[in-house]
Amino acid sequence: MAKRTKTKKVQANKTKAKKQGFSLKNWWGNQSTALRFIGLFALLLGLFYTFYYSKLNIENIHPHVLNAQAKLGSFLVNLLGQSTYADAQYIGGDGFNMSVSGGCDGLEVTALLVAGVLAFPSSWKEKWNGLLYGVGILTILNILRLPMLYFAGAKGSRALFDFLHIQGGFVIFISITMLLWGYWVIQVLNQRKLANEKLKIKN
Amino acid sequence: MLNPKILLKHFGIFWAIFIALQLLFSTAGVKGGLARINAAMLSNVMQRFLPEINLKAQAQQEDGQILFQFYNQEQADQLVKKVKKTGKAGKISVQNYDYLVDPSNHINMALAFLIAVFLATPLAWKKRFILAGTGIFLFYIYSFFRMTFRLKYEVSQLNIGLYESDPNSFLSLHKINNFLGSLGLIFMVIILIWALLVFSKKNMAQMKLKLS
Repeated sequence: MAKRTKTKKVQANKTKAKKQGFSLKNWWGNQSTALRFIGLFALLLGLFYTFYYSKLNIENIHPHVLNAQAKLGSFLVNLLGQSTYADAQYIGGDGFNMSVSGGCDGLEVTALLVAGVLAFPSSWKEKWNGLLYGVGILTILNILRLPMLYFAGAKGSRALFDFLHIQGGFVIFISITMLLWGYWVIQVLNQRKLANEKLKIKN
Repeated sequence: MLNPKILLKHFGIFWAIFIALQLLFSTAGVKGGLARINAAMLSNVMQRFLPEINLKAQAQQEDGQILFQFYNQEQADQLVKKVKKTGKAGKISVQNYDYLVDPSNHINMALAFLIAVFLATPLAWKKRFILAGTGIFLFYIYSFFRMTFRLKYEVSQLNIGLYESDPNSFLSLHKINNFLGSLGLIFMVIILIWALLVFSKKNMAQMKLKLS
């Protein structure tokens, strides 16, 4: 029944579009949910990268973000009994220096989660919840990663530092991002199902 | 109702496969084998897109790196012409350039990630393997594209009159190379490939069943 209603709606949209000529809104409405999700997801990621690699970000914003992260990282390391300093994007001390650079800033994985949440068909309230928890968790994890990396480099080995830097930087964070997104999608779909069941019972 | 605990199981499968593949890819035999396959494919494809240079790619057996060797084709052709004009047999000598690439992060680790993501997706196993195969194919298309720009950029830095562009122009080789070469983008491309192949109506229904 639901499928038939949906087909009718799509056909109605197509007829309307034919009458009105081409309209981007109608064309978008006629695409499948999956295609709309992928299209919007790719578009949002594209917009993020356009900004991320823009002169405005590279010269005026990104250095401040990296500096703030380095300062916060150095502060946390010092809380654990070390004596480090933050200069621009560098954290140094005890014969070990590391640089927080593009790619290590956690912004790409955060953008991945934001794009995934915004592109998924859900209400603004659901999206807001997903963004709040998802971005919050990723930000905390990324901030904790910096002291961990520092200790791996200063007290551990080069191999451990490289592992946590590269694998930790991307694979761990991207997999956590996908897990958070998947968990949010499950919550959204379950809540929707519950709401539908309640509606059925009422009727 | 969908069960989030099942999602955790698939997260575990992802990590088990990723770690297993990373260990496998780090063994000398597999690393060397992958480097040989990559070198053969890269040199064939990239040569078509970079006809201005004569390109050869060789796998370094000991560390799995790929050595690109190239020379300016136009310069070589001119020298051959000069020798031919003399009507006598002769030797020509052209400057050969080397460029060494370590594929362990940008190709091997990315490939391990891609395979693990597809194989951990809650779908029928046969479907996971088919999608992983398609994903690898699409990933290699992107990798060829990325490597072509990377080599083009390296050649431009040699100042031999090839591919030189203004670094401040909107789409300079420097900027394109920086963008395409970032590890973050490679993983984003993999996620996009995964989303493109996995999110179909049929697969979504199957995933819902697997997660219930």
